[in-house]
Amino acid sequence: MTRHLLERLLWMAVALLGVSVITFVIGDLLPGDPARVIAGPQASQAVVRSIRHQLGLDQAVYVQYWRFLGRAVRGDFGLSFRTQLEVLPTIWARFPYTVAVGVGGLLAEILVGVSLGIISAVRRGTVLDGIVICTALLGLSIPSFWLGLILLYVFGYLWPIVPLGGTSGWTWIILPSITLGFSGSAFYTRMTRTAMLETLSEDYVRTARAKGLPGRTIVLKHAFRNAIRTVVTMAGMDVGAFLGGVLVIEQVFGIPGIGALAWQAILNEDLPMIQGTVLFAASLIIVSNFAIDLMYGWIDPRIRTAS
Amino acid sequence: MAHPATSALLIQDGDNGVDYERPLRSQAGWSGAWRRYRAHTLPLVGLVLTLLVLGVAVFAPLLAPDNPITQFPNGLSAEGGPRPPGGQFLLGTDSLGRDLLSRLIWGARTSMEIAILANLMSAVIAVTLGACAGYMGRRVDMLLMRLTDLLMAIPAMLLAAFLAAVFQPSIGIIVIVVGFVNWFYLARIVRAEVMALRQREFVDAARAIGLPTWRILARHILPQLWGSVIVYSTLNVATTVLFVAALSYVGIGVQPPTADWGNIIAEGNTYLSVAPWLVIFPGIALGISVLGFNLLGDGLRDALDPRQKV
Repeated sequence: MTRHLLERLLWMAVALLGVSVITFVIGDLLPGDPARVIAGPQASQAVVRSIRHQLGLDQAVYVQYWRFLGRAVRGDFGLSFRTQLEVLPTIWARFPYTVAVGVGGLLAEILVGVSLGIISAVRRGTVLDGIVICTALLGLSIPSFWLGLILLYVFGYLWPIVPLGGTSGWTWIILPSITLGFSGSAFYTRMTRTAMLETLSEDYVRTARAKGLPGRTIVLKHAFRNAIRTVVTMAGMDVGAFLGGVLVIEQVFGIPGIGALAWQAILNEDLPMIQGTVLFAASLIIVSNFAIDLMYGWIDPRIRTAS
Repeated sequence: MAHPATSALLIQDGDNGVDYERPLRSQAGWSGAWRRYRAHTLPLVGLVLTLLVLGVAVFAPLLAPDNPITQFPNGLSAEGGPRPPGGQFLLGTDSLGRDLLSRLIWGARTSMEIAILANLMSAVIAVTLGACAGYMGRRVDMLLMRLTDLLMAIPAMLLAAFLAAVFQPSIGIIVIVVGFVNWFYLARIVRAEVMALRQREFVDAARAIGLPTWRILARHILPQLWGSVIVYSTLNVATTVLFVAALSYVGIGVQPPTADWGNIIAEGNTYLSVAPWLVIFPGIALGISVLGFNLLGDGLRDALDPRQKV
């Protein structure tokens, strides 16, 4: 287990390094001249040249990367070209909003998805099962950002019970969570249903039934404990796509999180801010995958004792 | 946002559509697949929806009542806002007085063009790399797995937006960018299948009679993969349509004035309270095409890959 942990930690570091190379290389391909962006269109050639020198842009790419990396490991991603604010503190200041939306959405999608999945597996072939399957299909097909806008129109404008965008009070978190929850739960419903159908037909479930255990105990303690592994695996594969969804949803509801920051930075060709947000988002994904890897040991005792 | 394509590949649903009462007929080949496909209602609904969307995309110039980028002087209301649905403009107009219906019809073309071309591109990359990694194993395999691990660590949305910004978004660039951020999952599926196929007797036999590796891959292994590739790509067209729409919505995908469902919604965003139709109709168009491809993909999975059934 320790060896496995160390391997994973090492891989995390390598992955982050790889992502930093990718963001740096893509950033290097950006057509605009960062020095010109900072200096403004009216500045003279001499000013632009001195800014290039200051930023080290006149050096070879690998030297630039080395310096970028040296600063990045100390948490210094430089200053935004547009706002001249430090990148990392700006990201940290926006992070709580993204966390709030992400946690709200994740809770909604897993709670709704898993419980619907269990219900439809237990009631397989009934009208209820049919309704759940159709709802899941709708959830997969409706664009989440569109659903967000429609909800905002209905509950923010027509029947104003939540703020029309922005982050005042605490009610602003409701609609983004529902939006993410509806789209995301479809995925978990289908996965949980399949996994539950599989475990419910296992011999040990039949044994449990033969022993006369109550249905609820069989479903939750015997079948679901095994189906949960599939759910966790799917959650791991889903982290990246989920985060992408969160960033788009922020735009819909006017939430000043990392998404808003990233889209603005990309439109502005604000290189340090783009690199910062991409690396930050990638670290989030890498760390969550690590956490999910650890969870396996907790969920499945066979893995815990294997090494 | 989940990754429906991968999820759906792993799901086994319902019965296998074989009616044991009827006299036995060949279950193999395309005719068997079609028989399994049409045995259920939902796949047929999916087929109809998909053909509808593809038809609209192909015949957009004939179907659209107006030019999608013409700004009609009478397309704006007396107050200078968008016109509601009805009259000359069936689904109303947008904030620049353009016919919404025509823009939606041309939007189908943009959306299908990008989604289908991007998926063709990712399928080519995925099959090539996945098959090489799966067949050669060892170092090549390690390299591919680590590379996909790495690329999957960057949110596809951000990576695509970043790349699109670098190369200035045009339809061609978006196809390439989306194709590039989409091949990882399929490459892994192909790799796993090739690894399993490599162990089979017919591959041993081909090797024993001295066929070169490329020939074994091309003639003996690849034909076995079409089912999964077609199923995955079909489901992934649905994912891609949503992905591109979201990209255009945040302003980095298809750029105006080119009509795209995502950027129509983005433009309508500002007028949500006065002209909700600008958001509602493109969303329905998106929903119909995504639902169509999802149902088609689910149906194809059940029809082409009966082994996945229990």
